Amino acid sequence: MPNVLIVDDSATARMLVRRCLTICGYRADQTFEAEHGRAALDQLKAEGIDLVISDLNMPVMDGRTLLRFMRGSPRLHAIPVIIVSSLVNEAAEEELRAMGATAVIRKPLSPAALAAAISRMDGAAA
Amino acid sequence: MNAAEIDAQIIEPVVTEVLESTLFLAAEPDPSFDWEDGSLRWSTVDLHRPALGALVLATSAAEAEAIFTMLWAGERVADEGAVAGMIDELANAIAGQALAQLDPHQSPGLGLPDAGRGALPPAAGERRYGFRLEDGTRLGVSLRALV
Repeated sequence: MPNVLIVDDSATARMLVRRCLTICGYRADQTFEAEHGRAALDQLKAEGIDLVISDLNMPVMDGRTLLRFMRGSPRLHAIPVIIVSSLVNEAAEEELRAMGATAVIRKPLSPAALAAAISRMDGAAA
Repeated sequence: MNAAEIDAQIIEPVVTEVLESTLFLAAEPDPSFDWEDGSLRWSTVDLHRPALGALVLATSAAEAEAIFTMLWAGERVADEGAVAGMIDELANAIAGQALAQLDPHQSPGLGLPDAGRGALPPAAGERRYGFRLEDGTRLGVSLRALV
């Protein structure tokens, strides 16, 4: 199981993602948290993160900007990013995928939706 | 269009889905929500793209704390800031889903949630909805047009 960084300014939202990851089989010591994109970039440089699950609407640095920085970074560009946001419709999903999002999931997140996204990601990588 | 024109056909399914999938409790419309309750805890989210106004989610202080305790299952103490953060997250989820449904061809945009407390007297250009969870908890959603 890879190490996962959860990026969301809401402690409640981070807890809900963490809970979904636990149901999907992840251990507590495999999940890391950041409150916004800038903190996430700092953690990505320090920790061995294999997957990022990020919100869009955050202070300091939002999810779109985080995605842009990651996709432009020689060190971070290959790390999969799953966007989990309430702000998801056809247009937003198309835009986020064009920016390099690996998967886009609408909030509220369910364990089934997260497991499906991770499974599709693993299948594509295999 | 403005926020107050987001009708029951959009807002009621969005609110019930967010509450049910987050809290695992069935929710249904109930217009008896008390907006004059001085203990209300609320969160307001500006609807930026399209620019329509704002959405406010409110519940009483006691009910907000009860929802928090249930949601966090004892993992975290229900202090004022943590409860406000939970209401912010629910308001954000409801506002985002409502906006996302209005126009599938436009990427929606929200402001950051802003928590507050106290009664919410009626405002001009406002439409109000009330909801009740199956455990009796009541929540209100107000849609406020730009003025």
